[in-house]
Amino acid sequence: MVQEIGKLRIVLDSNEYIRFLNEQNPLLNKIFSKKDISIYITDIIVSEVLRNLETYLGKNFYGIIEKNKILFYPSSSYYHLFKKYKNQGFKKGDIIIASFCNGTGAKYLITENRHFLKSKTQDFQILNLEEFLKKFKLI
Amino acid sequence: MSEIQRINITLPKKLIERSKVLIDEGLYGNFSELIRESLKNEILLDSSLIEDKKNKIILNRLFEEEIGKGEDTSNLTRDELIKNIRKTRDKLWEEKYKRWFKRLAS
Repeated sequence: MVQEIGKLRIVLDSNEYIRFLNEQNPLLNKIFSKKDISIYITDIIVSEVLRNLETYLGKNFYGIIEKNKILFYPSSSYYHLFKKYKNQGFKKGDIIIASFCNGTGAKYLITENRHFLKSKTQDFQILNLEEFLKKFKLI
Repeated sequence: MSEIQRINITLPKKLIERSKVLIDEGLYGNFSELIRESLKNEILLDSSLIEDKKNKIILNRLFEEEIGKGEDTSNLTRDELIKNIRKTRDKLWEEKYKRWFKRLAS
């Protein structure tokens, strides 16, 4: 894995990208503009974004990944963590995302999804975008 | 074509199951190709470069597979969108990840 030493690692859930591309979430630019934050993404998030956007916006999504140097790693790399998160009460696709967050060493998962926001995992913090931006004094 | 020799190898079951996922992902056509390419890479290339290249291939393939499957969600409220994504996440689980989970997490 590419080592992003000294940078804060985060994972953005699909809802954040979709709302940004639908022009409902301009605050995401605050994260994209921070050079000391590394954003990680995996296959299940990419598929969810593409299945919830019109085709032309899906193409723009590729541009967002490239332009902001978002780091893609396949979720299959973190299979050894699947069982751990199932045992912590995560369900179905949430298991894949929680394993990915832990496997990449992300400190934060940013999501508006209430299922996630209620989770009690100790391995990474789950915040919505506004909470994250306030915590780091970006708004 | 260079001379070919057939060999038998014994591998841990977990490694075989992981290899099947790479074949499922479309990175390799079959198990022999995976072994040939992995050995070539091991001999010739830097492993972090190989990983970056592989990840790029997987991402591009994902875009090819998924682009055009999307629907307009710009008129949905935040809660409606979250509900829609939940449906997509459950569908993806059934299509792809459930099988992986059974193979890899057992």
